[in-house]
Amino acid sequence: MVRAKTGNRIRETGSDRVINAAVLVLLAVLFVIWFFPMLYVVLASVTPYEDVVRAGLLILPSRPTFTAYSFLFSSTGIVGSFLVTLTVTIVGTLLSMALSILLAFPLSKKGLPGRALITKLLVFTMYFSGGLIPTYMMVRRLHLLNTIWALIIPGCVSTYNMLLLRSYFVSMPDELLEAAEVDGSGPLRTLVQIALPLSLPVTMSVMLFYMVTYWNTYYAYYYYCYDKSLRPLQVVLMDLIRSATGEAEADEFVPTITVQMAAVVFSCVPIVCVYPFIQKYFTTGIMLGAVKG
Amino acid sequence: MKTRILALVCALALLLCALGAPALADDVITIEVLSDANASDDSALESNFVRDRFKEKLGVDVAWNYNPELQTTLNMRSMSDDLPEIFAVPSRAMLTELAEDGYVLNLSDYADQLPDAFAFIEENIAAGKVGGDVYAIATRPYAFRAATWYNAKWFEQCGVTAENMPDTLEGFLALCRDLVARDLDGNGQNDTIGLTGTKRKTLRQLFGAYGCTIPNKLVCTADGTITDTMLSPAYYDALCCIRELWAEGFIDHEIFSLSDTQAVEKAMTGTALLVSCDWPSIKKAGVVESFLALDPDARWEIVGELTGPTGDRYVGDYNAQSYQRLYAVNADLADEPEKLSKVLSVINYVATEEGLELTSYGVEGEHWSRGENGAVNVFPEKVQEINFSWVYQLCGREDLSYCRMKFGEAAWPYILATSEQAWLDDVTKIIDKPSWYNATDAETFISESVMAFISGDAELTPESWAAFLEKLDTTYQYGEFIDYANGYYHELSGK
Repeated sequence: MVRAKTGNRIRETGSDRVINAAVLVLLAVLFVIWFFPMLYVVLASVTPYEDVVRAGLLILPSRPTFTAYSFLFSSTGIVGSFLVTLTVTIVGTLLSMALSILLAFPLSKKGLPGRALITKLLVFTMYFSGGLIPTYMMVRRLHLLNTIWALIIPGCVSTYNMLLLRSYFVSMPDELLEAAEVDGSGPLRTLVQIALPLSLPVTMSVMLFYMVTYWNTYYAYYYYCYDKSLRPLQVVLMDLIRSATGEAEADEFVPTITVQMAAVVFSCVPIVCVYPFIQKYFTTGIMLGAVKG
Repeated sequence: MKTRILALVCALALLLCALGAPALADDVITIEVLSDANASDDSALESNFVRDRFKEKLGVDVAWNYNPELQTTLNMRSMSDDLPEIFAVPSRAMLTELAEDGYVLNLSDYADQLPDAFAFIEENIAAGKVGGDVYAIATRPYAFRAATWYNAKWFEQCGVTAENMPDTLEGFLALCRDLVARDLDGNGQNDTIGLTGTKRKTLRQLFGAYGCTIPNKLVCTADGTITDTMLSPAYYDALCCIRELWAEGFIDHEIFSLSDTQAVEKAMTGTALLVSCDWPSIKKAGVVESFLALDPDARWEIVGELTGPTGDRYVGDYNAQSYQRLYAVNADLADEPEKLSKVLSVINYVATEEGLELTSYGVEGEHWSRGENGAVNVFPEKVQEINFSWVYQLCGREDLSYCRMKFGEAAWPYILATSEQAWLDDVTKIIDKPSWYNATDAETFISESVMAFISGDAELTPESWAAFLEKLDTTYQYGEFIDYANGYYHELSGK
């Protein structure tokens, strides 16, 4: 295969073009496979129920309507749940990031006494968790049951995410951090003003992981809470879908497919909107974290 | 100084808030009920007239904890010594386990405090027994709700009305086959399915007309014998009939992936001539409204009983001696007699006439009035306000009268008609499996084999059927299990 460099570009050979075209076609097919279900969910949520049932697959809504959303917001308590999830996500992510960073940074220091042992103990928890019942007992003893903290604290620090951060901090040149110390910076200031700004890619990536985890809070509610005002968004969504697909109970409300789709859109869109802002850090951050350590 | 004044103001404000907060009377205790029953508007469970009545009359504030993950939650909370006062138990197997481990109260010892509850559930009280004692309140099962429904508009277009509808399975299937071939939806394609539904229960009336049930059901015969109809000669004939319908495409091949709603939607869009489902899936007002939007002329009627080759007319199976839910009481309460007495008073109260009326129809005078003949007349404009109250029916309810009130006169003929059809007495849920019997493997083997016979994946001949039964007996000890089930049932029910 002969390639001639013209200017800054590499001239494509015939086989390159064929391969590139094949890749493009494959990606286009994958895009359609990935995109169509999402498009269907959005379209079904703004299409009259009878059209959705009759048409099966939709391309464009014949008569756009927001009836499903109107019903969703007025009758299902989803707005209150949205606020719960938003609170859990914001507070939880901030707390998780603070704890993970404060754990990862010291562990990245070679001079930390017992560093290897602490790391091994932390890694141990990745493979052997306490289990559901001991965790419940712990949450109960801490008087967290039926409080919003029960949705945040039990999963506050992920060892995996902490290790990603630690690996990134380890990869930083010691000289850089030492230079800060020579200039009189204490460990906390070095972390906040030097290490963190330089580790933005991995920090943002880990933050996204935490955000998505908190956004998807589901089981923690059923295990630790029963106060209806603490119901996260995913619980309401699941209830809507369960009541529509399960055995018919002697109750009146039957959420239609359009209401279910509206709920799916409402529960997905906010977190999906976060991705574009973090995307640029995401790939770099994880790749860097993955190869060091 | 300013800071101190501010702190003082804040402290006073907090104090005032605390004083101003509504406090429960000293003699009102709060109890938790953990259940997988939930109202569509679950915020109604936070504060409502039923809860108020419990507080006023019994001195108990009932905090309802809806939880669909019952098994995990009960495991977690029992191990943590944190069981709620009253809780729903998802199965008899778990009830037995909890009773043997001492987590649930033996209610037989407190029968004197539960006279109304025990009387109300008399017919199915055995379903909550372990070792001869009552460990859970087995709520009354709902009335029989299953039916096969036909598209009356299409039938009438072809000159078939309820009056000239065949009443034998053979005649009815011949008619349906003819109608399916006529392109009734007028789309120019031969794409109409005969029968759709959800999973195996789609086939219940087809089996029922042969005096049989769908796989993995134990039934109690008229003479009190427990058997699996699969062991009867008629089962093979039923399979042959169903296999033929499956091969023709008369039975929807997608039944295993459809939910109740999807199956009915499929029928409503003109894809199927018949749909097998319970009446709530097709006759609730909300559902009817949705489907009339699809076709304002749509009418779906009950096929009714069909006489099969064996002379049987069963439409399905029903758990008359079984339960809708099992409610147990925390055994730790035995050490707190006063609290226990109040907890039991809640269970007993909902089985009294007053309690049943409250949880079914609401408050007299506010939601309903009593007619001259003693009948309850619910104010139509108040029906929505009592939508949630059924969750508090800890002993069950008078299902027919309740459903008539709740789902209205439009649904009532169907509610009544479905309940009056013939059904086989399904006792599967109350027969606990012995440890020597590998129920999971046996049930999987039965399900998969029967489906393979129906779908044509396995050859169906008298020899292959006999070989299947032989393997069931030798490999899975099915014959011994049936003997055990007979002994167990008679001991449990005392019949």
